[in-house]
Amino acid sequence: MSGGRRTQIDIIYDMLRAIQDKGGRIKPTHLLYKSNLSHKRMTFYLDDLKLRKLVSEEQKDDHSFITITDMGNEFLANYRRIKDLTDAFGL
Amino acid sequence: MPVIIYSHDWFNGIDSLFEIFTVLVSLAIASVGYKAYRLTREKRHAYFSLAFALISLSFLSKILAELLVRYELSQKIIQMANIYHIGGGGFLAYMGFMFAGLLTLLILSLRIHDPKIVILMILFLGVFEYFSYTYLFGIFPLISLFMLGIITSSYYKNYSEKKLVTPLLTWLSFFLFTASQLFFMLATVDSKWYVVAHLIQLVAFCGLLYLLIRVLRK
Repeated sequence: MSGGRRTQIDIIYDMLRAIQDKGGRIKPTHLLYKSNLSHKRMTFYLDDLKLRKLVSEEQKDDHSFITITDMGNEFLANYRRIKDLTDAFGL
Repeated sequence: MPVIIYSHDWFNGIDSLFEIFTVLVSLAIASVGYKAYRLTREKRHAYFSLAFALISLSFLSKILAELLVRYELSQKIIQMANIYHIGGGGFLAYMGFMFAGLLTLLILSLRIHDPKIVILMILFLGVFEYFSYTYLFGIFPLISLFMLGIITSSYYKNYSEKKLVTPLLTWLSFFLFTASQLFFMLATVDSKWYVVAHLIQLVAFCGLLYLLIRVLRK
């Protein structure tokens, strides 16, 4: 997770990375734990991620899973570059 | 202030080629900064992009002004005493855009949020530009040296906190960019320093290009 006070973009990154770290698919309860957010806030951000088509939700064997999409993976790659640029110039 | 009359004859044109490279590198950094802004919608990325776009515009103005002066000189239309008036607009734009770009980087580096301080800094730079253009071109590299020195020291602080390769590259590149201003000042005494200044500035922007490639290859 990112250190210090997280911006909206940091939270989105942390959530997507948590999904990616779990092989691209995660249960909502695990995501809640990994993203370090309240249930209300996680639902808010999850809806936003779905709206941006960065993740999708699917049902399997009566369980719900959050899956990262190709756009989500691309977002993570772009975010890492931006993070590197931000670190380089201390922005 | 790197002015054409300080240059060796054999170096005329080569300096413009070096500066075209700095324009392209600055534009590339501005473009990456803009992409960062589009993704994050954070103002700091927009200002970062703006700073490098202004630096790029600054070098472009200088290249165009020097081209004009060289053309006029080759046609023997003007006397050396009138050289500033021929390329004057371009040199004025060069100084203005450079001051604006460096000021934006300075505000970002020092995390200045108070608009009153920013307005005051703009006013001071306006006065400095007036004096640089009207009386003494040597003032420009002195002010640039001072501004770049502060920016470089904040980049050193950033590197010492993070201990990563990319902040180190930023610091070293800006250190060289700052040093080049010192040699541009010395160019008023001996034209060989003009060549040295340009070479150091070129290496500085090579460092920034390498930094950008490292970031984009991730």
